[in-house]
Amino acid sequence: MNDLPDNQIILNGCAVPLTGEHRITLADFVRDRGATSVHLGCEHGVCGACNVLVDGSCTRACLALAHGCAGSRVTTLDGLQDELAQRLRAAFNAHHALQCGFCTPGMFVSAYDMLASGEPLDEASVRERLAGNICRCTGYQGIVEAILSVANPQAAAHSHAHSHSHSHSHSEEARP
Amino acid sequence: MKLAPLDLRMPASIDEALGQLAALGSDAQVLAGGQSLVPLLRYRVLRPHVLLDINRIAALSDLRFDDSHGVRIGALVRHAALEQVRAPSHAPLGALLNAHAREIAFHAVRNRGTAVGSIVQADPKGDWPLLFSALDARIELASLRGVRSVPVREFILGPLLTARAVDELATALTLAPDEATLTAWGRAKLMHRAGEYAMCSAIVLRRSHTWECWLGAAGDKPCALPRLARALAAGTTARTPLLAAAGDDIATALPELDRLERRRHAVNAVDAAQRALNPQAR
Repeated sequence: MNDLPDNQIILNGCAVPLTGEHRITLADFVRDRGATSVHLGCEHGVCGACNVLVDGSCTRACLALAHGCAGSRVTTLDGLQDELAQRLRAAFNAHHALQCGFCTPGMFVSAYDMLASGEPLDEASVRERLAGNICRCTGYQGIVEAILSVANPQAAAHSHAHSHSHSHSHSEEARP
Repeated sequence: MKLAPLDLRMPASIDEALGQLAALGSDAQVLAGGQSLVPLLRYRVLRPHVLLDINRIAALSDLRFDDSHGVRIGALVRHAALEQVRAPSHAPLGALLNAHAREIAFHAVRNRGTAVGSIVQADPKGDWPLLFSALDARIELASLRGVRSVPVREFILGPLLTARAVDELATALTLAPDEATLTAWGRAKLMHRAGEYAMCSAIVLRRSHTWECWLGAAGDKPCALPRLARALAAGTTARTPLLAAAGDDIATALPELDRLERRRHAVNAVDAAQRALNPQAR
């Protein structure tokens, strides 16, 4: 698989010895070691709140066994600190891409993964890629806008200004 | 729910895995991608004592398209690999695998789930059981007793039921050169939402003058639509007679469906047929 020792995982850059029962999922294992950004929603692979990167590949941590990931690099939301992640954080903030925040870590990992893939992204493809992440506040619009603003900074700045002037004129019309 | 206690073993070779399977029999369950199996372990529908994780067996990762030997998809080939594979020697088949894989579940699930695992899972709504039944692929089963190759159409017996013996490991899906050579194809999958299981799913394949039409997500296992295939082979392209043929096929194969369900599956199957007739409309 790779050249890391088989009795540990690298969790957000730190070696963590693999101990405990074989039945422990990767999600429970990393949460018990402090990576509590990995949220458990459905625990059967539907909601996406537990998405993490395993050797760079977006993975449901609730459907992977911790011991089965021996020798792998596991990155959770907490471990995403590069320049792309910082831009995405700022975009989540600017576009109000979270309400209660429960889905946010999984949404963020999915969003980071699709941006890091380098594939061209438009609204339809972002929505399709987000189909595997459920937001119980139904706040998808802001999340999609945040991701698109990082994917296509110039187009997003334009449409953002446009939608602002739009909502402004609406409120003018609504005035009695 | 959390998984029941179990012993996870990670054999390094096929021989080691087969030895363990022979010794453990029904006490063991093979884990490949785990995207269907782990939920079943969580619900405790399955409670194996030993989980045999085959992900360290490098020999199971091969994905080959070969003019003279056909196609081989090893047991560790993920949906994502089939979504992206380029097969210049088998361009129509490659494009069909790409399109079919792209509509399976979600990106994170496709990164781990495997095509061979999906056949062994034999979910009536599964995507690969339908496609590999339509293609008339074979599944290779290895045990200490030897290796056998079974047509997928015979391997899948019913919902979550297959002809796999307890000591057998499914090692690959294979397609003979003739089966891997397509002239045209069409597929149609109706979902409530991207990534969900299919409400209706159909595959239509053309190999020069012969046609194969198959229906999934209805009944216990994928089923053939022979009247629709004959109508297409006879040159029928109009929607009304194709719908009548598909409706007759479905009424015969699945008499338990009500009129609305039958109609929905027939319309979906004819959509697949028309995409095979007119690839630009795909």
